[in-house]
Amino acid sequence: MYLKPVRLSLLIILCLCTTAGQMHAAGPSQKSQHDLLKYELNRLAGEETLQQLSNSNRGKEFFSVLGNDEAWLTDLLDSGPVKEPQRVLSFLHQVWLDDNTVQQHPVNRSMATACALALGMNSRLEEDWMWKRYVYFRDSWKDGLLNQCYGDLATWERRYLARGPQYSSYSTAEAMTYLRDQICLPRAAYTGACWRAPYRGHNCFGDSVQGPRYYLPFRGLFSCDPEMAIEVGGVCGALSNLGTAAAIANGIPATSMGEPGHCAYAVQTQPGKWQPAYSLSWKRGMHTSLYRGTWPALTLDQACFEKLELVQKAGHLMRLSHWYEDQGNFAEASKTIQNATQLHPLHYGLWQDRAELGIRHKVDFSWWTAYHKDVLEYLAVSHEEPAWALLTSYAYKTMKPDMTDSRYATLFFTYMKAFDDFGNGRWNIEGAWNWMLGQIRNKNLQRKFERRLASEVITRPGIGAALLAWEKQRCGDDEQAWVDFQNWLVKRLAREEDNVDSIIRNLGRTAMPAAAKRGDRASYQAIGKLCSRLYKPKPTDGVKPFAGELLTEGGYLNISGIGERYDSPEQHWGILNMHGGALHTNSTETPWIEVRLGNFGRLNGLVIQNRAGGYQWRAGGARVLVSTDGDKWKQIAVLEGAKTFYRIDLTDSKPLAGWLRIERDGHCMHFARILAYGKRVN
Amino acid sequence: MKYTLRTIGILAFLTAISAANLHAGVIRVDSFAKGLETAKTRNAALLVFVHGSDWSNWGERLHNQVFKSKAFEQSFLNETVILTDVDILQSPDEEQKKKNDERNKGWKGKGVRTYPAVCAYLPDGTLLGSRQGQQLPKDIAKAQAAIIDLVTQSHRYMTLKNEADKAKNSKNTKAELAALVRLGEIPLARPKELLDRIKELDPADASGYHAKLSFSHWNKLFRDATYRTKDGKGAEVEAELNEMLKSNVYTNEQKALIYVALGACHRQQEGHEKQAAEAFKKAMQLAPESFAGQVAQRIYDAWYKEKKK
Repeated sequence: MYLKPVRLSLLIILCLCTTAGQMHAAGPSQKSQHDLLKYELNRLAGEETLQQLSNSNRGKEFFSVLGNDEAWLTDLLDSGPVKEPQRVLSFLHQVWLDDNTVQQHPVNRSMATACALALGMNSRLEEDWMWKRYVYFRDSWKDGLLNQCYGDLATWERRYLARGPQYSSYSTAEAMTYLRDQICLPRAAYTGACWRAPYRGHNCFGDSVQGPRYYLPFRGLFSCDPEMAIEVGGVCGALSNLGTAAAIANGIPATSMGEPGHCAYAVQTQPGKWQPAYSLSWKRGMHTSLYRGTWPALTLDQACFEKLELVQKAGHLMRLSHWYEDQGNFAEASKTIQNATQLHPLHYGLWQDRAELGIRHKVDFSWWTAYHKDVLEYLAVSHEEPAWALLTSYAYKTMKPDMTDSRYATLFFTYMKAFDDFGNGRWNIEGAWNWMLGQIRNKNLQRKFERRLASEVITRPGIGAALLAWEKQRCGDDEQAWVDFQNWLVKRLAREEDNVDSIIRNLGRTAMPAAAKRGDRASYQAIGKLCSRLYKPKPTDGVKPFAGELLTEGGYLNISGIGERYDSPEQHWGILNMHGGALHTNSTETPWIEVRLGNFGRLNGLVIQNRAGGYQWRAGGARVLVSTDGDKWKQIAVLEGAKTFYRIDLTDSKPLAGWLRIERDGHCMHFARILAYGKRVN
Repeated sequence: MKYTLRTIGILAFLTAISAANLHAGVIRVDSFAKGLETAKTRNAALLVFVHGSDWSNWGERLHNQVFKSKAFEQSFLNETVILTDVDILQSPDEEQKKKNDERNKGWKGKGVRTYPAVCAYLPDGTLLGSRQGQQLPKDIAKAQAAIIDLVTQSHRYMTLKNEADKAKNSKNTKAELAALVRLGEIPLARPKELLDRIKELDPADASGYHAKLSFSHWNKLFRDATYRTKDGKGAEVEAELNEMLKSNVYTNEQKALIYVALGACHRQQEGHEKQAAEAFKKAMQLAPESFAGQVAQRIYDAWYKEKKK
């Protein structure tokens, strides 16, 4: 019998009870999960790695232990991608040699595995750095110094702890010890941990944070960089890395993330729930990720891996598919991986694996059509962004030589019809539309496609808002193009009595609340501005600004009973700036207005303008609160009496805020302006 | 009759002892609000253990092995301390939350930056100080010592405050000043009016206590010097700092900080490079191992040494 080298090494190295010969002889139904796990480990590592490691210090013994430990193998292979297997296994081998608790202690074993997997994901990380992290978590857990939730984390979640924040100096063993002691909080409170460092663009010597002089006088004078940031100050990069590192040091998954011109972070504030912190935009690039670094990819991974049993069942099918492929049985391999993706469609890695099988075997157009269909049916319906990423990375790219413009257009429309609105968060759908247009070479067809796309999605509240903003941006300074688009829109959507204004008003009524709900500031601003032509600017007499920037500008708001009887959401945009607007809450027990500021800031003061005319007394007694995370609120003022203008001076307390809330008991409220002034801290 | 009198005498003596004991020792209460109330009634310090029973294992260990222990209680046989705890739950169900919120009522979390924390309050509810983070070592015996030290300092604070008040009432300014200065040196929250009162008692600051106690944090000192100079007040800042340097109330470490601030002030003024370099150099020479000396060294090496070449 011919034995392939990999199978030979399996026989030699793992000292398994199942020999390679039995592997060949046994039918797939007889193959146990354990057999396939061992097979997969060998397949991934390759002969050279296995030989090399087995020849090192007690290497054979290590592989025997690992190979015979089904739980450990499952953990290693079903906790996200395994990259650089040589580094992964070498690290695990070293941990096994140096720490005899690793195999018996499930929490330590899981952390060691997570550290190994994280090491494989980033070639810049050093083994020694990772070993110190492992020891830190092991010892801190043993001494009861980590958050209780650490014990319940899955290995894929521990990968976030292993990787650390973007700034590695914020997550050395010394830094983590410091942060563990100095910022030990209940899990959800880490979204505010970034504010432990003061936001300072210039240090106490007047040197800018953008230059090398900012930290130079202080380097080496503190126990670690996070302490230096807390004492000296920093801007968004330092603050976000501090927040991330503090959560991680306490055993709570977190990641720093990049946003346009800003750095923010996200914390897993409770099992299964990730919350953005110090975030200004949905355009987020996660610094730690399993498959892809977008926010929708993170929510997909969370949804996928919290169903551990499904991950393992589907993982088993994927390994079986690999085995079939190895046997030269492509048909079974393809069918099996298809079953895996259908069994657990939220597993991005399975879709990748399926696509890569197709690429390796140079499959035909119909295979990709089936792939396309499955992605839409099983994944795009709730996770359209990762679905789009799969289609562009694999399907469309491979199908390209056989594609005509009209075929492209048809496939794109099928994709757009697969979901109703933004599923798991706002994403760069404009980028997808631009890409679609770029694939269609015929200009005439391109234009037709654009119009059809618009009529397809314009009525969906979330995506419709994004589309309108996208169309406006495409028109740029070409006023005529924008007028043409609006005329087309009227023809397309209007009933007989409608005109452009009524169409825009209706869009504003649906799209602005939807954009506010999703935190889609860009769309809110675009539609809000568009709608502002429907109502006259309010006189500015009586508006006495405070010092600093108008922090409400560029933000969005939401109110209780939005769009109900007396409220006109299309007039909300002007409330947050000098244009002025109108809002009217409902009359529930405690009506409220929540404003997301355009920027985080230290407030100097608020100017709140009541609606002109009667019922101004309704504002009296309303409480004004601020928040840095939109969740935990702190009262800063009460509106006293019936006035046209409430001017709240906050120069003494300078509260830090990203959100503003006005609430009162028993009566509705109606305002024309809510203006917050202060110093921006992002 | 003889026996009766003797018996009465013995009984009176025993009662007196019991009464004395009633006034000293630990009193445990089961909510923050009750703690404050009891502290007020007994004119005693309130010690609050702030922890998270469903998420912080170390906090629970400390709570059980120190705060709730008999050995800990034994440390306060001669003084009265009111003990309670505030539990900050991570994931309570609704019923737990309601019950816990009731227990924590009145506690605003002021001054707590990390958990667990032990906070000391005056009978009127003023937060005096705390032990938390690195001030509350991750070692049971050392942590216990740190908490006991907090209580000791709090009692010292209350005694000195009492002394200062008595001296004030009896118009004994010397005794009042002495008490206030010692009070100001205790590493706990200073009474708001302390510095003003010291200034009233010693307007020329002949004792130097006001200068000593009002010495700024390094960041504020450097920042003020930098930004006031940027605002065109360089001469004024320079004069103030030079005046401070003439005083003999400051330690060498503090003087080094003043020199760094002076360097920062010169750095913002055109044509003052030489003076800036000189000021940083003096800071380095005066207290080379101190924070200020090290900051000065880095600045001097990076910006002035080069220029000299």
